[in-house]
Amino acid sequence: MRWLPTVLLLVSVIIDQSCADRVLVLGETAAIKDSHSQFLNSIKERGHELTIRTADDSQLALFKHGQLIFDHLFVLAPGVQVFGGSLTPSEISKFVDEGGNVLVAADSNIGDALRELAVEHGFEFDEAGTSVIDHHNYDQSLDPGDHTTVVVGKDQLISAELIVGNSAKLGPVIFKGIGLVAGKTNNLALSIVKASGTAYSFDPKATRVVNPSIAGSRTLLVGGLQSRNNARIVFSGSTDLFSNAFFSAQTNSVNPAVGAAASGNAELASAIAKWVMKESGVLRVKSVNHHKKGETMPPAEDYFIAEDVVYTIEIEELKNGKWVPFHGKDVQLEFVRVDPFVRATLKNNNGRLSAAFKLPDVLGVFKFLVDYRRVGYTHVYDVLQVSVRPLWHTQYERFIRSAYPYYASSFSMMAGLVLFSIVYLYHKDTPVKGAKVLDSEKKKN
Amino acid sequence: MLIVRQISSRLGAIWAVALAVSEDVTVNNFKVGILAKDQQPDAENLKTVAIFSKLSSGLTADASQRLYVSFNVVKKADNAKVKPQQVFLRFVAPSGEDVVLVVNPDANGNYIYDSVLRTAAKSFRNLSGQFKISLLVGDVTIKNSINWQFADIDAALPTAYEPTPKSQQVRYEPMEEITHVFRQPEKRPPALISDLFTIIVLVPFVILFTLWARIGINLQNAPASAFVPIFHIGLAGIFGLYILFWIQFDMFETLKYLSVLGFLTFVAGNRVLRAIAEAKQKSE
Repeated sequence: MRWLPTVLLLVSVIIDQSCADRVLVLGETAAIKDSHSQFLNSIKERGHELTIRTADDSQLALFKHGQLIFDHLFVLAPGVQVFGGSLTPSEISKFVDEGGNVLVAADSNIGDALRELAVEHGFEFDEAGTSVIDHHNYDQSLDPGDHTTVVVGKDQLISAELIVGNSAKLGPVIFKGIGLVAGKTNNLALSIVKASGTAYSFDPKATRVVNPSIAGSRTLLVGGLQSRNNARIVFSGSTDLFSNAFFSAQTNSVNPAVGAAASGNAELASAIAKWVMKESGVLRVKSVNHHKKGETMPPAEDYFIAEDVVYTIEIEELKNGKWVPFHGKDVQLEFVRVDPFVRATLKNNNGRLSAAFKLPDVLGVFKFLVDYRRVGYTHVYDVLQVSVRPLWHTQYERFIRSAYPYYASSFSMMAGLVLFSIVYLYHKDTPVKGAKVLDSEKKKN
Repeated sequence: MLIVRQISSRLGAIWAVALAVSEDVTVNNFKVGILAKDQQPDAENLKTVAIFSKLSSGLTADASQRLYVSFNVVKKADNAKVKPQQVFLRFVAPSGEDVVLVVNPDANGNYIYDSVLRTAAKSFRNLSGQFKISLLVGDVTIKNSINWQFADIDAALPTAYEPTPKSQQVRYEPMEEITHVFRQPEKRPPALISDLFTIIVLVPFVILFTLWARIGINLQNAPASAFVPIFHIGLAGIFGLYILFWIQFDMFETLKYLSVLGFLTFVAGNRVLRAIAEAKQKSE
């Protein structure tokens, strides 16, 4: 029994390591450990392994022998022109293709490496030297005088609690940095934090704004996307958004509609980090089943047309590190043969979603398709193929009332034949009295 | 007045000596109107709007007309013209998307925006229709930045139709439900008609029995052979087999039973006919 505590320790270490993600944090200098210590410690406290390096460290690598060394990459180094080691924007794209998640924070002194990285993922930062300026929403106490310290209101956040947390309870958020836009063909872009309509992105030292490339609510302060393999990438225009100073600041917006309050940067940064690291908004399919109404397993042979079937899918959601039943009420099932023939909303019974419907009277090879895509959630896509056959000749209606005359005529003919044959063979004619019987007749008989 | 702005963008900023004088500004001589391509702006086709009030009637324009806005930005204290950093016209569509256009001052410091809507539409990102127009004025030296919605406009701007292919569309909302419309079975005649004709079809059977009763039938010519009942029962049995084949049996079973029944019936029938012929010969 002396080995029991050691075994338990080993087991707990193994279990702990299974939910600990490896995060690579890149800062411009080693000072990132101090200036952003609250943000980084909040991640460490959730049990993840942080590796903090400078962005031009010559030993940087994301892959080793073709395997990922890290699960997430945080780039909090705005000014880096060229990444160190084997890191390049295309290497980071490969990292995302393999399922790695990336959080990028820039600033007004953005370097070419980050601009190139953003373009590869469908966003574009403004040129280096520009800032987001908002003369109507700057912070009176923190702003150095050029109105680049912008206070963000609740209506500028995306309406997805999975990404930004409970925005109703969030304090005003302070932002100071560069603006970005989503590319025109980027259909997957999410405007996580938009700039207000009065903001614009320009060189704060210019005396007059001439032709700003980005202005109005099209300017994004934090943009993100969930790629088609469910890897998440977030681009923030401000590294100071995640800094200790902004976490503990008291906001004092010049806009009278936003009252003075403690900043909500800590909660927003924590919510965004949780979303990027796939701790929130992750779904998985536990099991899928389909069967005829009244049975429990799929039929041994194929379905027939116009049969009643029941489809059940179990979906789970990751909440606080545990997989719990998913309570979404708008998951839809499609029954597709090239085009959907039936689209039904699944009824949710504590994680078991089911739908009962009648198969169409069309034969062919169909799919039970669940394609669930919502802002903030991973993409659930489940396909089950079934065949629908036409009825056998023995499965049609057997006796039809309109055919009763025909049945009656056949049977009456048969009965008549039997009876008539009896009568015809054995009937003896009695001769009529007084009738002359011809000689020819007599001879015959 | 020299204003030295601060240098660093990081926290722990080094404050340069900033004599930032905050002033109040206002906008006066504000005129707005829709002009045709060659019209000159004058008091007839421009409307004057006081600051922070809204134009009572909405503007309507199509792509060939010009939007003309002119105003001055002056300090409240001494009415001196100023050129702030931000002087924008912001068009907000009902969907929330907005377009920002810059207004430039002319040589005398008056702000004039005058442009044909067809050319301005190039920066409208395919938006068209209703817009709310606001004037934004802001600067680091301005204490009261202005965000003033002064008019509504219904602009018929040229839009390019650029649809995304269906495979690249991303939908985050649930789609409409589809229920399959089943093919209706063919219409059948009412049961009354079927039953009526069933009765009509059975009437000859009734007529047969009626007439037989009237003319009087007997079975006196039946020979005394034992094959007589066998034959008739066999014949009825074959018809019974027909009915069973219709309801239940397949061809193999039916042929099996038919071979037995048919043989027996054939032999019995042969004997019966022989017996009838013998009886006839005897009676002659």
